[in-house]
Amino acid sequence: MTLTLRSLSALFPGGRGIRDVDATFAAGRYVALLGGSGSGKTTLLRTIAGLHPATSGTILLDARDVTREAPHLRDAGFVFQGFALFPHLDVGGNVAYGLRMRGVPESERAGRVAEALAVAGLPGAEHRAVGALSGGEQQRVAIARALAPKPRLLLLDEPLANLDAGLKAATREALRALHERLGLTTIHVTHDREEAMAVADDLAVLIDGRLRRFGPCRDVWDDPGDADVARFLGMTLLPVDVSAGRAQAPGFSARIDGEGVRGRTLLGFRPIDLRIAPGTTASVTRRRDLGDAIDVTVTCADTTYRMRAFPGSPEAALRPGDAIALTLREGAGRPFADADVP
Amino acid sequence: MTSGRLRVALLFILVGAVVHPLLALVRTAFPAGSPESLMDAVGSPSVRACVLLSAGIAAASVLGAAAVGIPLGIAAARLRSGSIFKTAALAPMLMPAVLGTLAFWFVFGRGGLLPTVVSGFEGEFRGVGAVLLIHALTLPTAFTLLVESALRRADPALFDAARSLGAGPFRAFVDGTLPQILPSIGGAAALVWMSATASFTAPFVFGTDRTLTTAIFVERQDDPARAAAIALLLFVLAAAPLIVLRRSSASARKGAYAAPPPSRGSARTWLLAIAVPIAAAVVLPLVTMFALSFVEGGRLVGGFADARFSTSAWTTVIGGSAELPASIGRSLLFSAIAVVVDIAVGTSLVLVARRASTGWRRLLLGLASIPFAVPATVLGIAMAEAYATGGFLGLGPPLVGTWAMLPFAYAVRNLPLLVQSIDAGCAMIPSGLEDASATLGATPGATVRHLLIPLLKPAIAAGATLAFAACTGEFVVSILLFDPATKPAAVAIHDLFRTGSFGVAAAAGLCLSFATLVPVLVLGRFSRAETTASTT
Repeated sequence: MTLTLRSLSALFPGGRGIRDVDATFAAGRYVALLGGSGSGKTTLLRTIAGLHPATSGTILLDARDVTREAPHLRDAGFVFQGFALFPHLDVGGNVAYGLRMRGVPESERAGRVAEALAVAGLPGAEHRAVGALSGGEQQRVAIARALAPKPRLLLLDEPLANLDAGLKAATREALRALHERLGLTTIHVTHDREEAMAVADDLAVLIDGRLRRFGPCRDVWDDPGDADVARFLGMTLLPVDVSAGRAQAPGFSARIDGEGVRGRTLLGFRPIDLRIAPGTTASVTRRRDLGDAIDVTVTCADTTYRMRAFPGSPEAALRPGDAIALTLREGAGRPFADADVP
Repeated sequence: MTSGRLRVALLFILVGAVVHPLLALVRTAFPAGSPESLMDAVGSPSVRACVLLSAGIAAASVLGAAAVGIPLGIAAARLRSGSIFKTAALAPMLMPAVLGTLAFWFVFGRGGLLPTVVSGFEGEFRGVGAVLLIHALTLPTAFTLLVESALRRADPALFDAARSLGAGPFRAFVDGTLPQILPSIGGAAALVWMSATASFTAPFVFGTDRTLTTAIFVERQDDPARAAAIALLLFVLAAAPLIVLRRSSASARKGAYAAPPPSRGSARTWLLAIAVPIAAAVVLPLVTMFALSFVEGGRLVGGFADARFSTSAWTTVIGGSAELPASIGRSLLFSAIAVVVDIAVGTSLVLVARRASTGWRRLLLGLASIPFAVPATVLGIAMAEAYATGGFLGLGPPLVGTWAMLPFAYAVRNLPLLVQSIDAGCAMIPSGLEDASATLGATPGATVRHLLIPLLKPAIAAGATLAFAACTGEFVVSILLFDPATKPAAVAIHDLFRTGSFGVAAAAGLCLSFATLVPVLVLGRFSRAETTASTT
């Protein structure tokens, strides 16, 4: 099912919410809806599901306008952040709930429930009480419940937020495998960049209620489009002076792409792209060993750089007090000419 | 019916059942629009004496009930055997009010237990002293329940912090724990004040005819306008502490902090030494009444030596005239009708209010809680005025004198119990569950049927239990509104007592309690029931 949003706004009293969202979620794509706290990502998901009213704009499921339709009439399965399992029903009762509401004959329900539980990775759990399940099992029940009515759109609201780190990684893989098996159009809300990159085909970035960037994950990661999205995706934004294809800042010099970029501008790059260059204008002030990586802080005058190095690289050998200069990995810097430079 | 229409229909019901009778009372108090009766009543020295006596009794009752209820609440929260103390405090609440009051006669009255076993105890069990003692031992339930609940919610880290800074256990309790339970103590005090000012049975039975409630009853025979004016004064006096009943903003305790361990050592010994005699005193009247129902005449007039044991009182109730069993049956039937109506109205009201705007929610729930703030005497008088000449909203034939009057009055009187219980249950249901139901294809009606009602069953059963127990023992509203052809059990038992048939009155009262207990136990099972069900 293709989901199309046209100039969709859903505002709360006071003006917060989502504004003028235009996007087409192609059939069978797994989209991660990424944004910080209060960015409007859950509001957008709830508006698509019909749980929050659209103030203006249109929601199309394939060609059908569902903007004003009640939630129970939309063909969308929803997995809630806290799972929202019904405490008065056992696992089977929870998974069968959507089938009962759609009038699926009782004779058919048991089979569909067993099938949904098997797909979600919890076969044979029909008669267990939901209160006795672990967090991971509850999440699987929530997924099975959303899948049992065979929706054509799956909406996941921070589905991994309530799981511990180990379970999170395993469930992330399970969600991706499930998507590849079922091919449902899926929207997965998260604030975690790594989770979004790991699980999705496409990335949609919401900032202050507006959809600022939408495209295949790698494209968005490499080209955030504007400085706000770049900052949200973990880029360092360094004020530099550009002339003759070189960006200069205290203790830093690098060749950059970008025809016509001159003068004062913001240069975006990631901490893993910083390299040691010949020179002694900057000094290492701190080193933190994180195990898999090493965080190195370098300062020069009023400018502070955070560098991430990997064991075995020359940067990993830096120690506080070392005098160095900095440059960028070839092709890594991205100028944001339109951004306001502090 | 759409939710908008249902909202209007419920408003119509509340206006008819709650507002209309009170307006009728105001009309009676201001005949021809003149405030003369009210001014006369306010200016009258005898009425002012009644106000002072009622306020004095209420204030002393708050202190007495606190002295009994707070130690029981602490014992219930802090001792391993806490449920015993909680049950003791609940006993007077679950017994019909008239029975709880009459029971004291069997302990303190002439020929009762104490005058028999304590030589020289000859004092008359009448007047203000008797009323205060009855209030102190029958009204502490609110203190016990609220203090117990507050202690279980209280953050033990504050007690531990005080101890770590050098305070002894008592000082740490005063500085660390007490401030956390003070709002609950204040709330309980307000509830007891309202109950004590509204108390009718104890002053009526034990000869204090100068409280506001008894004055209303007496004045009503000769001067209904003056009685209505006094009823308005009583309403103001009883409702005065409602401002104390603000909902405390109990913020959730953060972090995983273990619940406080049960008290041990000397703290446990002290607590037991205080709480055990109090619990015994609370249940003693009922136990005594049960025992004396097997003594000839229901009294120990000649001491234990002359007491003749007999089951004649019970035989009279069960096998004698059909009037007593019939009145008990009527009380149960009227109570059942009232509770069924309250369940339907209360559940609809809470569910509609849950989805309504804040204004509608306040209006609907506010109107539904009025019978809780209005003393039973005032409500009884108001209904007598409103329904003597017409039916619901003045339409149709008068309700007074028909069998429907009492079930209707019981339903209005106890609606707040259902609404408060269901509203509290509803507040515990995360809105996410309704969203989940909607995304799974349930219409709003199906969500109510398949999700909200099943989840609310325990709250509905808990409210229905309290309401049913309150209805079967409802004395004040009954004596003001009953028709001789449909006399309820509470009035019949009181008549027996007045005519000196103490043993039969005790046996009949206990029969009513046992008959009440069966539905209460059934409903109690629902309120505790394991709610997980499979509906695949």
